[in-house]
Amino acid sequence: MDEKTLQLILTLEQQVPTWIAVFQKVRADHNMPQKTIEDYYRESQVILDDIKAVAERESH
Amino acid sequence: MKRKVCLSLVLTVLLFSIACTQTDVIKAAQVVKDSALALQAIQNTEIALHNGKLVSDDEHHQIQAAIGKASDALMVANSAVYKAKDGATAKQAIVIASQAVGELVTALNVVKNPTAKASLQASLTGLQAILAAIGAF
Repeated sequence: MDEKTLQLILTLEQQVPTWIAVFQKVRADHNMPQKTIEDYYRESQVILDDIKAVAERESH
Repeated sequence: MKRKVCLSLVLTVLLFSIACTQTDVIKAAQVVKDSALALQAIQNTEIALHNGKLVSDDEHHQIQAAIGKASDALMVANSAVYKAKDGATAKQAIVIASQAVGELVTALNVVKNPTAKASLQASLTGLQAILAAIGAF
């Protein structure tokens, strides 16, 4: 195995917990019929605010 | 008696249609949240690739700027879905956001390292699949 492939595998391996967390959150939401549009709106806004703040910091 | 039966039938149909509309708007709200989570995962993947020197500083700046724009588009969709009175309006807001998110594909093309590019494109496929789910209702 070359160095680049090994590096990619290590990078992807580090991301596995992130994606598992995403899938778990998605699944949890779909099993909670009592959630309202307001709940989804507020939760989405928090995530998107975080993304925006990180993107602004990292793009300069 | 007949009037009561007719009235209850009309009320049932009305309540059912309101419930359907609400369900579609909630589904749209779920799609926005799932998309936000997937976009955050892409952002974290890109940062990890940049820290691992698989993505250059210039590429990193461009991709993060595109991720910022995609989050803006999802914020617009989030507000539109929140205010939407019916499923069709909510769905339309997500279709518009999908087009803006599509610009991320162009941004990822700047990545020279093929392994990093493949990793980011695979992550982006996850986000696109979530957004495409809006077509199912």
